[in-house]
Amino acid sequence: MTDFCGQTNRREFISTVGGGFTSLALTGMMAQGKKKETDFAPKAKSVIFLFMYGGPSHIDTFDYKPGMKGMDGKTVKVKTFGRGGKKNEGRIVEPKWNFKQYGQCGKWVSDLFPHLATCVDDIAFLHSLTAESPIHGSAMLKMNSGSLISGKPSLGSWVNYGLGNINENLPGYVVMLDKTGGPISGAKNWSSGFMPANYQGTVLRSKGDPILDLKNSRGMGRDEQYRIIESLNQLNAGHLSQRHGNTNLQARIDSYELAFKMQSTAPEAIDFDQESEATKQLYGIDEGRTEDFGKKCLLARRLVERGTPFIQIYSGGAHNDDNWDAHGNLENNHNKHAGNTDKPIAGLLKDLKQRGLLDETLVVWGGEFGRQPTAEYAKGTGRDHNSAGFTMWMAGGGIKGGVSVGQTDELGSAAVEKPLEVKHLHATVLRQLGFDPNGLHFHHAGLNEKLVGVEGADPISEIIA
Amino acid sequence: MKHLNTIFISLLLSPTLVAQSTDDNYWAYQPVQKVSVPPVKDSSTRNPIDAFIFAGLRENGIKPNERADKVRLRRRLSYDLTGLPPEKKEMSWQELVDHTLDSPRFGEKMASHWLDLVRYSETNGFERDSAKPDIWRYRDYVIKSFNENKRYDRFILEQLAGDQLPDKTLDSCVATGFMALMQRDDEPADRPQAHADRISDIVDVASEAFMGTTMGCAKCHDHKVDPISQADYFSMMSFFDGIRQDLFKSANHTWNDPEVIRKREEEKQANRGQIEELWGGVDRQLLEPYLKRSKNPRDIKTSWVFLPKVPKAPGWSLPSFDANGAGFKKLDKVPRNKMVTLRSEFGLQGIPKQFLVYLKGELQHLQIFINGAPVHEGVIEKVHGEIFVPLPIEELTTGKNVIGIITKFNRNRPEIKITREPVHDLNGDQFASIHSGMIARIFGDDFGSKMKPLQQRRRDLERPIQGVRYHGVHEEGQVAAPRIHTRGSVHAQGDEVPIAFPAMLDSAKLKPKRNRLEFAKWITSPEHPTTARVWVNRLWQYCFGAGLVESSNEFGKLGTGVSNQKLLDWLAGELVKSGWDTKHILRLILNSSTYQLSSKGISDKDPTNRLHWKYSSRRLTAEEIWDSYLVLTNQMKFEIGGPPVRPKMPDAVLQTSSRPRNVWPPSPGDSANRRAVYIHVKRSIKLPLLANFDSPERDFSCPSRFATTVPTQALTMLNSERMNELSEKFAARLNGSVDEKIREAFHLGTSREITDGEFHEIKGLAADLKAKHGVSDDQLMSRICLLILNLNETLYLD
Repeated sequence: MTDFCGQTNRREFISTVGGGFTSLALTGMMAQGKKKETDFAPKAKSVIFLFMYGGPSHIDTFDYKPGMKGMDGKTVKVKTFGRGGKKNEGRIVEPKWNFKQYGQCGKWVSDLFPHLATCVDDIAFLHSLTAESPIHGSAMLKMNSGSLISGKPSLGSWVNYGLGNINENLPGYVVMLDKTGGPISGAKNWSSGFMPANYQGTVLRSKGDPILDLKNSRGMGRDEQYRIIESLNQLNAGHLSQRHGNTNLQARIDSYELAFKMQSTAPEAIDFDQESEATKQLYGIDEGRTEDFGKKCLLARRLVERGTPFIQIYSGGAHNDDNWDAHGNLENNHNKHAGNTDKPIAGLLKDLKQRGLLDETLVVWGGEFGRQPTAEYAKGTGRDHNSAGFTMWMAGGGIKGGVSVGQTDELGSAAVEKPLEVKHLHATVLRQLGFDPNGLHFHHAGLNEKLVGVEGADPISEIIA
Repeated sequence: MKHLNTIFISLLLSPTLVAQSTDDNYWAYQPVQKVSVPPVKDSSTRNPIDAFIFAGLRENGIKPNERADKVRLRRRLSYDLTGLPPEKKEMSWQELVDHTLDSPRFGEKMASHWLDLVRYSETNGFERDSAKPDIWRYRDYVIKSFNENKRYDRFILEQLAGDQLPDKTLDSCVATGFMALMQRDDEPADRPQAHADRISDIVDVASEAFMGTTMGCAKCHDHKVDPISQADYFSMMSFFDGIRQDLFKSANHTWNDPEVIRKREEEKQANRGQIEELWGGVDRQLLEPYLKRSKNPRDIKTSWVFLPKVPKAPGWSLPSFDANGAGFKKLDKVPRNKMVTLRSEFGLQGIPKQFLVYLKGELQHLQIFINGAPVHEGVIEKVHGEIFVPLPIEELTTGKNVIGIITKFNRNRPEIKITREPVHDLNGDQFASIHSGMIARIFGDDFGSKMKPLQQRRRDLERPIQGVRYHGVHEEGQVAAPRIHTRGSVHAQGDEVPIAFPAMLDSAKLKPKRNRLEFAKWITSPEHPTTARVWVNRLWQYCFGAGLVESSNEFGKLGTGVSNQKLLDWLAGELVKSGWDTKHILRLILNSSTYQLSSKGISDKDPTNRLHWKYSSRRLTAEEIWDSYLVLTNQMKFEIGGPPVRPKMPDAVLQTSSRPRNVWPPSPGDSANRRAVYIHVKRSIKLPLLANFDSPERDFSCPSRFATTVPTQALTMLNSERMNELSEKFAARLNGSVDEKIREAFHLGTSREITDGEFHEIKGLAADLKAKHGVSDDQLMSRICLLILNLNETLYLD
């Protein structure tokens, strides 16, 4: 027999059997919403993944390349692979922003991030990330689910599955999208794939109705709705009394109570009125360009306080310059997106820290890939995609601050020192939450599927405090 | 918590409940056993199924439940077979079973099971998430096949090799859409790998869906538990890897019905005969001077370019197309005996009376397009070793025109002209290609008026037959000998593997040829150890919620084992014996006492009901909920088949797309009020009601669904625009007084009469809503209807 005989905890029970047959036991257990034990003592309780959709240029942000100064316009031999295919040489676009040193660690950061630069002593930079694909569609799926194709559960689903987290007062996996729209592949990026639907991400809006259908579309009052739920409960209780022991039916009765509660807890979670003016300013909510992303960051902190395990915020949506995909004018594009997010992200880190939450909140920043050192076209500053080496960073949740791991070559075209894969990033997230990334699995189609893949991956030990 | 897990583990280990073996003669890979039906000891035994089930229960000291009441049984039967609430029918049980199996709704319900299994989706995913044009014909094929009770072996054979069958039909070709359902990245980072992954996707789904065997792990290493080697895997892949990559793209397939072609040929013959007969009365050689190809023929200036293949891009024969950009080269040396595409632009100051293509050489194939329109296919007239094709002039315009030719030459330097005049020595039919005005001038108006309709008819008959476009696959060319891809990487080619079927499933050690049809025939042979077992197990699952093997895609040692192997084998034998008759097996199941047991009670001995001492109550599926609500509100349009529909998507959900404004244009009016099986399956966006109620992602084969319960479902069910609109429509269809309406609505939702207690509860609610919450008389009934749509009893079967 295989190891599944030894599976004794709930998540393995769910994964081994799967399917409708087990719904009886499954939903019964879900309704009770018990937290599960982790493999290790968790360092982080929540994750906030700041997804810079489109691919920020690493050499213009955090990966300092002083040697490129003065090379602008020079044609150099360098192998690149992007949307435009594979090339062997190209015209250098030198980094378009000045870099300065910050913090005790003396980290070089470009002028794109003056606020975030003041937080570098809390941040671990990963300069040698690689992704398998330099194309948005597959690279997005890779960063979110560890696979180039859709159908696998996303990181937030794995986290909630691992924790046995059940949506009660608030969904456990929350996604906030850009106002221009979602990313390529839409819901596939927060899908629970082959896991049950209760592990899928819930889209949360910072304006209006935060969760789909949270408010009654006919304006039904709360009291009136409760009266209807009362009768519903009465009739359902009568139905259940003749079907003694059916936990599905009980779970469904409970879900109405929970939904009713969520209608007050969710708006309360997004209600910023109780926040001080100083806090709002810290996130840049008082300034036009940072208001939107600032609200999302503040909302993330409020969700962390309410125990939400996984929150993902997108900077950028839709296509082209609505996100970080700077194929045309690099300066316009990155000034816009960095300018919209720099202060809010710095505010988030500072606010978490001052409230003592940063220790237990893991913040991840990055896109699906970085950008090339060379120009994409004969004219202009646009850079093509680069998945051979790019920068992401992590902060809080048991991550060392003021450290940098890995290096790209002198042009930033490829990782040359300690190349890291997306699965190492995922492994680190799972490890900080208390899971053995090579142990957390879900049985599907004859395989014990893992987020980090069949061959597994170890966490990035250099950045773990 | 703990006790449920413990029970589950003990279930898995208990030899009395589950046949699970550790030896190499693992049951599922052995031939189906001939089993004798246990002796009948119970008066409620209606057929052999009961004999097997009751024997199993006796062994474990469990008593089966009583028969469920008529109302519940009819509701159960209706949902299990049609996915819809029951209709009122006064019939015996047996008649009702037959009647329901004959309903066209049966095929639609079975299709939603099947489409989960084969990961049916109508788009490709990734950045563009583009449509798979015409793929819905595959969905309709599945519905039709179940409704016609197509032999199951033929059903599988068509899906795996319908294009290679000697007696292929449109249906059998459409069936090959099975192999084109996977996601498709149109700009993969690694093209050869992406292609190999798509082929292995077919292997994985075919193994799981048809053979109940998960092969996926053998792609990277020998299976750790079952005897499946990497060589088995790549040998299996070799049956499929002739499938052409570009054919995953779009509807590149057109079906021309041989009967239609034959009829067209007859009509042409008849037309030629009539023309010949008419020529008989005149000296047609008088036309000769007009037909001679002069020394300076009135050719139209061309500038031919060519592509040594058939272009993927649509619109390559349109004037707006950028041929240089698409890689068309100057016509110099054309590869021999290879499909090539020729293209020329040409200018016209006026529309010529006649328009002909002239080619020299032996051609094996000929298709001609004018300005994008197909104007000629296949028929080739040979005159003095030259090929002469008169074309209709309707597609020509003054100014820029484009002619496109797809053909195979047997010489490197072909001579091709387009000209305004024909060559000499034509037959009567070709004489008729001369403009009717000229014919009338020479032979008189009377003759001309007789010839003209025949000429018109001739032109009509020359037009290409409009075939049916579908989305399938076919193969072309040779592929390299199959090799192991080390760790699944196409770039790490390992040892060559022999062409063989997976050893553990092929005790006869057959030596197959490398083609899909051989593979398909092997899977569907009566001797195959798993195919029939897997299908009867699924039918069991579709009636009882779980199969005798619960892991219905995994009969191997990683699966859950079988709860009643003798019954499974008896049913498998019965399937083959009956000629793979799906409805026969369903009839057996549905007429058994086992199916008709009540769902009441709990048992410590068998809490999960693996042994079937009761009917396991279940929640309706997402599609059943969707469909039921359309029926309850009297809005359902029962039409079978056709292109998919898009019901209104909430704005907030549209906003999650990268193309919020055009990702999901809603179907006009009420045209989307169709069964959920006809809703567009788009990878990047899904209706919240379907997504929340566990409609699966169609990226992998899904053998059975989860049934989760979370508060966000309740939010959608109480608050959404759709639910409130449905409640209003529901209220509007009710008749009579308020009391009568309450009774009717309750009956429609739950299929039973309301009790006095329930009636008073709802009346109390109505009074409170009016008195305390200011609900108007108009709104009142829709509030009550919302309540009824939300009842557990409306959403659960027992």
